[in-house]
Amino acid sequence: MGQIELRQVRKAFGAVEVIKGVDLTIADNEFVIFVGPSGCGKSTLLRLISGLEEATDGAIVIDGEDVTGKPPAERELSMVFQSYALYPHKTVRENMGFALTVARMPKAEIAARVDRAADVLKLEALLDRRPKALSGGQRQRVAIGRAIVREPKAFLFDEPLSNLDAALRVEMRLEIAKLHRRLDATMVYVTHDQVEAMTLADKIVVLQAGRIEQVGAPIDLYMRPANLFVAQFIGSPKMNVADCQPAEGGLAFANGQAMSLPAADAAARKIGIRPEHINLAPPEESDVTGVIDVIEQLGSDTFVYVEVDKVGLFTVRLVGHVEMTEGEPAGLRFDRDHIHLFGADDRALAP
Amino acid sequence: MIYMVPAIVLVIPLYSVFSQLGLRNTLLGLLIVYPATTVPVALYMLQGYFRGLPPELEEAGLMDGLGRFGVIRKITLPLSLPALASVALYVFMIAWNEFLFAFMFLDDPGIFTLARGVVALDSSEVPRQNLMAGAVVATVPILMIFLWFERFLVQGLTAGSVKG
Ligand SMILES: Nc1ncnc2c1ncn2[C@@H]1O[C@H](COP(=O)(O)OP(=O)(O)O)[C@@H](O)[C@H]1O
Ligand SMILES: [Mg+2]
Repeated sequence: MGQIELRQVRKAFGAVEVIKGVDLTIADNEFVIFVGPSGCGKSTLLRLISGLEEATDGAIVIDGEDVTGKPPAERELSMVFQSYALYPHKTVRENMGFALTVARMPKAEIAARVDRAADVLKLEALLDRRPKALSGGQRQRVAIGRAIVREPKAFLFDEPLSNLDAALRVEMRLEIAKLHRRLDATMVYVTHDQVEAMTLADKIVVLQAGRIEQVGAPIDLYMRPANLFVAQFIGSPKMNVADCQPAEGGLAFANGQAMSLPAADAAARKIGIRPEHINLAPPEESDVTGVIDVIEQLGSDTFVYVEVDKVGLFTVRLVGHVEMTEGEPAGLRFDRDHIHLFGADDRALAP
Repeated sequence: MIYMVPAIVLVIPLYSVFSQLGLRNTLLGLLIVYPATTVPVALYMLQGYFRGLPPELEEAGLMDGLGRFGVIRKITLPLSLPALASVALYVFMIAWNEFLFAFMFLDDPGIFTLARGVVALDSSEVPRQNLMAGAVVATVPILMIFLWFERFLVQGLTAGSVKG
């Protein structure tokens, strides 16, 4: 079991309100990821759930029990810290078993549980070492092991992979996904990494300045962002956005060019289009025309940055290796099925 | 803060107060003076160390089911052993070597501290070399304590706890 409910949770440090009324329900066994720009309150929200910070207002309910004022020890949650936070004076075995020792579990039972977790995380050979004799990836594994051994109601992760190098991060990401499937446990995970959020989450919570902007499945947020902030935050490279005005049978841009879009809402003030939904086209078929500014070859993809006079810079993502020349004119055609329109208040308009 | 003024400034008022309280020519008087002057120094030195401990370690302890006091007993104090040992040694040395208060307050040779006692030997009858020998012997206890404490003064006890 591990159902977590936040009801109008607020947190202020002194006079500064950091969490401004958050309502959220996390279902049992769900993998929920908090994303948002740095300083938006992701860690604070996680620490409020853990009990390391006390909410200024609102209620936190775990499995139907109000735990708002209770210390971390009574919440039965495990936390994996970004900096690992292993006890340096204890061996790996003692680190992993510490919570059980505190809970006065019989020694044999502790050893059995630690061995089982060590088996899952391939830590058997390291059990008698101290943390300082471990590599970064091994320390992260021990930190996760310490969380597993307790069989908590839910796991809380605060950017657990951000201190690892790129290759190890991919490996650990897969391992966390497997772990979630295997343990069938509730997980709440903070990251600013797009790929981690999109691949791991059942549900993504996008935060900005202490408020929830949108909650939904990764693909829903990608396909149907509720507002301009979410549209630009989810997806990499980020969505192109340009000012526009409704016109006869479509939209008009600031440079005088227009595109046909009969269904366009008359309230549309901004158009958003992802880099993968733009194609290069001959001038007569294109919606806007500009000049190629920069070309980035990634091998698997080619990013073309096209400067459209008075409208802005568009990023175009082409699959594979495409030969092109910087400085040449280019026509852009927007995929009609993937156009996002936003009103003057930056809210998304129904397509 | 007490070390910002010369000790002699404190001796005079303490002398008159202790005289009135009947504490002047007693070891109890020194037992009051020495902690009062060394504890602030010890706290000052230790607070820097406590602040330097990664807060995540204590938070990990809280998550693992410890209460506030449990965290101090099971995590903060074990990790602070090197600092506690060196501060203890330093404070002991201050008290052991203290001469001014002992010289001013104590009249009765029966309760002289070692530093005070060695000086009391300084007279024409006691040869110089015996006096020097006394001074050397006075350092022996500190030497012994240091050798025993050395095991706690391990370097980098917190290494490997946070970050990679
Ligand atoms: N203990 C604290 N005291 C004062 N301000 C804090 C404290 N913890 C966090 N903050 C502030 O709260 C805001 C959100 O912090 P945090 O939750 O760590 O952001 P994130 O994890 O999303 O980057 C930041 O502006 C930060 O400065
Ligand atoms: Mg953070």
